[in-house]
Amino acid sequence: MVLDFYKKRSFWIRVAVIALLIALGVWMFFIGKQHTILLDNNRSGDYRPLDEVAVSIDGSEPLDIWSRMRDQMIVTGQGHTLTVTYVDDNWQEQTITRELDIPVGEVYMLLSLPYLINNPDSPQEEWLTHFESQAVAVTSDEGSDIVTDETAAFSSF
Amino acid sequence: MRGESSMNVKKSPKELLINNLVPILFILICAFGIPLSGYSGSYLLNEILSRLGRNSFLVLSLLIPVMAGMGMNFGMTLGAMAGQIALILVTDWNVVGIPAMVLAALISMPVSVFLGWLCGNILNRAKGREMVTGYIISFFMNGVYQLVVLYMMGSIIPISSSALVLPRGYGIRNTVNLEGMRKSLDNLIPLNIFGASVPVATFILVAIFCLIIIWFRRTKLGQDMRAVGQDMEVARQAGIKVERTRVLSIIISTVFAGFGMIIYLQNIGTLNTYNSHSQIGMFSIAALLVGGASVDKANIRNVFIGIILFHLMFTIAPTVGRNLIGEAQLGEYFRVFVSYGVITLALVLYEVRKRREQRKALEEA
Repeated sequence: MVLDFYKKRSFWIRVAVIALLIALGVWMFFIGKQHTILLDNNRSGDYRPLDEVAVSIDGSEPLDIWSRMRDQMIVTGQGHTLTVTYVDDNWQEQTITRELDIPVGEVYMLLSLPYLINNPDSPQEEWLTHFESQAVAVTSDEGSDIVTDETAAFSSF
Repeated sequence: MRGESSMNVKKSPKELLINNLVPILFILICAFGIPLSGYSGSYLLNEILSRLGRNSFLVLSLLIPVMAGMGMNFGMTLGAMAGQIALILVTDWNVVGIPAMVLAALISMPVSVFLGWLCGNILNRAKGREMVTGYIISFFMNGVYQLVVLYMMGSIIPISSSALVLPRGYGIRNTVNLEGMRKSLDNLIPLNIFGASVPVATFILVAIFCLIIIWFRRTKLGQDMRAVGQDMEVARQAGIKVERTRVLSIIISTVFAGFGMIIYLQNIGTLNTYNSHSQIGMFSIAALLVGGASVDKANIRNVFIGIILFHLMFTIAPTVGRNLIGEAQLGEYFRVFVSYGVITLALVLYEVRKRREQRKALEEA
């Protein structure tokens, strides 16, 4: 009798609702996850940095990256369209458009612009790599004073 | 909820005055304070709309336990703690915007259900003293919350963000920046009226919650709660599982309080890890009482009147204090003192009214 609970319709409805909520949570995690893409215009192996590259992701305002500079773009979700515009050796403006698929576990990714421009058809893993951000050097105990006094909330309410 | 039918019975002006003493007092305070504050109409409108958006969900979460005769749920703080734990996790995972809010709500749900179940069962063992018991439970759980956030997060519960973890390597910092989700719900549907920005999406969510409450009252469980709220013994004899119904009312309230806290903090944009939740119960209850609710009677109208009046006082008090005495701090103290005072006054009035009714019933008998 005790093990008959799985024969009840209400049990399966509850299981379905819980599964649905978990699936919703996973979906929210994927679509809301923020990633920082570091746009790097430094030498990459044999490839020299370009004088100027304009980078846009998902049609955003293009970001100009000068030679030996690095800048960042923050994106949300995994699938993005990258557009890189530059001037080639013949003074012709060229545009490369690639689809980005950022692994969900990544927080920082380094995008090598010289490598991408010289190998526009290469796999993503070659020009978009994991980047380990340096640990924040804590020089002071700023923010470490724990205020558990309940009246401290009055001023912010 | 209970006693709405008695509104149709004609009452003497004196009775009306006594029954609505708290809202009347607040209307007078606001009428006196607004000109002294010197704030423009559009500023006050902006403030009230913003505060209505961020507080309504929290205050509405208090209605269901009142319906079940459990008074003001001081244990809603438990839901607020669940909401905050979920927000810390979501911030660490780098999830932003509306998905972050939904994810936080989903994470807070099982925590709130567990805490609500725990609180409801304890309250069932303290019938008649639910409010003071709830208040003490919230203090107790605050200690457990601090243990989790201050010692377990970063050591047992993995937290990778150095912006969240204390320099010693475990424990969460005093403030958590919720920049990634700040006003993401409020600004989802942008609308400006007379220079004041209206949080349309938040209001839609609040309206849906109001409809759920209205619908819930008509359901079997809602009717059971009302029956339990009116007379537990009669409800028990009618076959209603009184204890279970009471526990469910606290669970529902705690879960919604968790959602309310997430909405509240997305508006503020910063989480004070160790004290954001501590006063939320008191301020929400004070707002509801200012709206004319009592321990055994509260409705949606009380919620909105209460938030408007209470937060109008909250907005103008520091400036009035400064303009009158030259000390803004006095206004700060004033609003805190008024919050406690309102709860005390409402509780005293409730007791006076209850005794008067008992005396009248005895005289009639």
